Amino acid sequence: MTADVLALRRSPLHGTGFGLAAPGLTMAEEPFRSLVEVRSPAAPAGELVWRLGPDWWLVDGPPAPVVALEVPLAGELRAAGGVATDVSAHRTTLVLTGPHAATLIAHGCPIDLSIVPVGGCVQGTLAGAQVALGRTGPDSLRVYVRAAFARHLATWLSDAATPYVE
Amino acid sequence: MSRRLDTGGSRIDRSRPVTVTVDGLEIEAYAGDTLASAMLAADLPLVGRGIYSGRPRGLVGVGAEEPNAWVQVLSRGGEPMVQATLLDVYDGLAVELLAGRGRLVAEPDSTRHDTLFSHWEVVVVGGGASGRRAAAAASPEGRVLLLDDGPAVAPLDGVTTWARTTATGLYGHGRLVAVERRTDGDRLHHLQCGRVVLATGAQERGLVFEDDDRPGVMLAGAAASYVERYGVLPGERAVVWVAHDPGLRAAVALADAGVEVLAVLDVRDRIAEPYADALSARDIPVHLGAEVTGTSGDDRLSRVHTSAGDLDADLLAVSGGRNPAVQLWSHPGGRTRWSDEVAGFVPVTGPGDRVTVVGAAAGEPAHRSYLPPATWFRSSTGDPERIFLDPHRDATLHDLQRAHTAGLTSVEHVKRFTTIGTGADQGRGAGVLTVGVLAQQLGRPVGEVGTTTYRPPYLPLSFGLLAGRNRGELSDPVRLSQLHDRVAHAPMEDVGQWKRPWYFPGAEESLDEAVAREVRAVRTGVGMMDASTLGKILLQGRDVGVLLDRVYTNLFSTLNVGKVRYGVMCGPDGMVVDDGTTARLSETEWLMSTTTGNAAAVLDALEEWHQTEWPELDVTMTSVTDQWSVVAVAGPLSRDVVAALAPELDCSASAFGFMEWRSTTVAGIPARVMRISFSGELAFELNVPSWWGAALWDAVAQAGAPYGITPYGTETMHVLRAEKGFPIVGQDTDGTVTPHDLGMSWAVSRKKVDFIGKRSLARADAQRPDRRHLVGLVPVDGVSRIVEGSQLVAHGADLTAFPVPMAGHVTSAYPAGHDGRPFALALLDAGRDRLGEVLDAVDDLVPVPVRVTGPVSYDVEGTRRDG
Repeated sequence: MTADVLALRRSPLHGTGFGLAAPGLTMAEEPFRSLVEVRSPAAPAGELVWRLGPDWWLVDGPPAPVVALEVPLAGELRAAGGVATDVSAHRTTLVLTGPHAATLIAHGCPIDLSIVPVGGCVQGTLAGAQVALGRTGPDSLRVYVRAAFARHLATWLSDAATPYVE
Repeated sequence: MSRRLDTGGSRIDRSRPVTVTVDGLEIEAYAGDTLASAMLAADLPLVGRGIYSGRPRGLVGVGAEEPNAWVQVLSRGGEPMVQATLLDVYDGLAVELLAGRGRLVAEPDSTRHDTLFSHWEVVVVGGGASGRRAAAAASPEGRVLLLDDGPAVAPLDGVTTWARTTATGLYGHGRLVAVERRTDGDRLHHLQCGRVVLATGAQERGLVFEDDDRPGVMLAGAAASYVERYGVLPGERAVVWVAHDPGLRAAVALADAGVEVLAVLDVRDRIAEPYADALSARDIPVHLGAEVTGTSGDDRLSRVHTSAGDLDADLLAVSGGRNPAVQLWSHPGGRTRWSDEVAGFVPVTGPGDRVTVVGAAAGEPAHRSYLPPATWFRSSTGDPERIFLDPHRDATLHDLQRAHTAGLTSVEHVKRFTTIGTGADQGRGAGVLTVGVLAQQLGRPVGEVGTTTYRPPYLPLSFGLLAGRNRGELSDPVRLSQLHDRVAHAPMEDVGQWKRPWYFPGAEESLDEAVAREVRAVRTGVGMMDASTLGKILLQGRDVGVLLDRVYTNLFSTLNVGKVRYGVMCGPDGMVVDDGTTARLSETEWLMSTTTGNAAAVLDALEEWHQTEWPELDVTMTSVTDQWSVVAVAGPLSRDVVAALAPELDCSASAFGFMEWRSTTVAGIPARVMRISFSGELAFELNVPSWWGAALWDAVAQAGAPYGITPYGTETMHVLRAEKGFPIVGQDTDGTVTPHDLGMSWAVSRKKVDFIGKRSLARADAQRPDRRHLVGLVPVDGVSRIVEGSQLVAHGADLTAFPVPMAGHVTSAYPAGHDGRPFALALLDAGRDRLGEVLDAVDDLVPVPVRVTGPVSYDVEGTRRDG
């Protein structure tokens, strides 16, 4: 039953064919990540924890193979003392890597990403869609976009990548 | 005949010939040519015609100062009004000459223009010697960019260099906008700069005289540049008329290139020895204190009239001075003053610490003429109607004199009266000349007259470039529900950035027919709709109830867990700004819904109140709009459908009351079910994490099939709610409507100490009995359609006796409700006191007699919500 219901999930970019693997630039959706917004003075524990603002964090964990109204990660973070909100289905995660990744984003986002260190995160608009941008490496970025904007952003990214695909 | 020299031309590549078509005539050129140099090489003297006079016009400049050579590009998608001096040729380039005005291209522009943001510690504009020095000196400061509008910039250590890039606007806080010309489309650069160094150089200006617009009259420096850059001889026999030393240098360069320089005229009474020697060594006669008085020729120059006699020539090269290029300096508010030493306007008070200016643009001493130049603008004689100050606008000395005669003395007024400097070239050539001539006309010093204000963009920008990739489907973000694919076959209604299904037509069914069928299904059977787009905010903390009591007009803190309450939000002015339901999920968790279009504004407002006025409240807010997919199941048979989907849920009216919510599973999917109704019918809203949205829609459709479940769209939703008198904020309200005006005094607490808008609602004006109230309308004849937006006037009012007193307007109108008859909602002066009255609803002067009713036209007793 659980497996059947899990198989019914559709990520925001399901069926769109979004993705790119070119020299210098890759793009892909990582669907069904466990995403939880936490309000707490101290950084919550986790593998990928982004600071969104004062006392405001986004925790990005692996997909949870459970059928529940909220992902288990939210309950764990709440138990650890933070105010936690499950936003796993509210946003989806796009992963961009390669030397052109930051330039690609600079076609539609006025933020200076070069001063965002590895582990750092900024919020703003990319191609008119509200996003959080987290840096996981010198040439790798994670883009958290609202589910409703995901197809627009995917279309925009695929178009913006045109000069970097040859 | 080709005017191309056998050798020379620093910018052209003779190994790469290209063919260009001008007005259907094929000409040969080289890669690196501009259209202007290609036309000059092909000896095409005509580059355009006067916009009003139709007079033939020739090439004057070599860059952005060119007033005449603006062409219609026909190739590569086409583009109107392109400056030939800045248009790089390519094989297959085709253009048409213009008379000062292009035409829009009807076909979609297939060029790929785009946008790029970048960030720099220092940006230097201009790749000349001063710019390179500034860039090299700045290189230790971090990211340093040197940009230049020429075809190439030599590499510089520690500096990024961009060629073919023109800075078009400088704004406050170090924001610079530049255009990079690329072969596959232009790029609009937004540069955020720690500081900006302007090394924009100076632009040559001419001199004016009778028939100064005849093809063959060029700027002397530009003429020399065509030799140096493109290996093109601008004429065979030349007269050179100058007012400063750089003009003399150009004369020598032209002579050395093989032009027969018949004479040099200098307005000054002496010239420096090195120039005198150089000219004399080339046997060029020099006439001091001399001037050109006119020209002759058919469509091109053949004779130059001067104070020293007439000369047969095909080139008249003139140079009146050099204007420091202070446009970018002026954009963010930098001031300029006239300098006699420079004979131009030079920067003085800066626009701020971030911007400095160097080199010729600053009028630095090294860029001043060897001898103090004369400030000279025009010949002393000639017919004012044939002395062209601004050939691009066909504006003459006569026009300027008319402006003066009309009493105008300010350069800004003269500009607007004569239109000088208002063309696509923005008076880059004509501006300072006009100031000089106006000063002479007024008998005042040039500095006292001053310049007009330079504003961005420095060069014209096409709309296509400004749009960049934000066109077509990317012109604005589209928001899609996570079950969009299931409803995508329906016509869509735009609600903010959302696409929502409008109605679900069957084969050959019209909007009205489909809506009538959908309404009937919900009133008598069961319907389903995608309600996912409503804004959702999760509020957490001990003090959420306190916050809600302050932002809603009614009481929320008393709401029990498991219950839902409808609330109205007002602004501080007491006017309705939003409405929606809020469910209490636990002691400390509340889920608020907002209208589809207002979600972000409501969250922002709540955050602002919390952060600025009530920081002591223990509340956090998180947008979860996209976390949930919501399917509304509505109609008398909805309980059967939900019962089939959620076997664990007791949906009987006694166990699951109106305005309550339950956790359960729906078709195996974890869900929150709410008994909320926007139709007046028994209804359930099924909320699931949105990645199950499509699965939920499928499950509801399947479980509802035995009951004939009917998908419905926003139009039917609007009809259903309008029959119940439920207002839509933003449609039935317009920022001037209080909850009382809507007849919702029941939702305004009288007990609460305070809430946003309470004080304003106590004002006398908010309590006037004749305020506009929400009412219902039906056509008196029972069949006439009422048009949304109609004005309400007295029945039988004479619509020709203006002004016709207006009593209100129609906010929502529908061709048919449950009884098949048209009805409407309206805001009407003292409407609640006028039930039964007959008025005319007027649209486009056609009156429809209507009877005023209460806003609720269906199930007035509210007996249907429990099924």
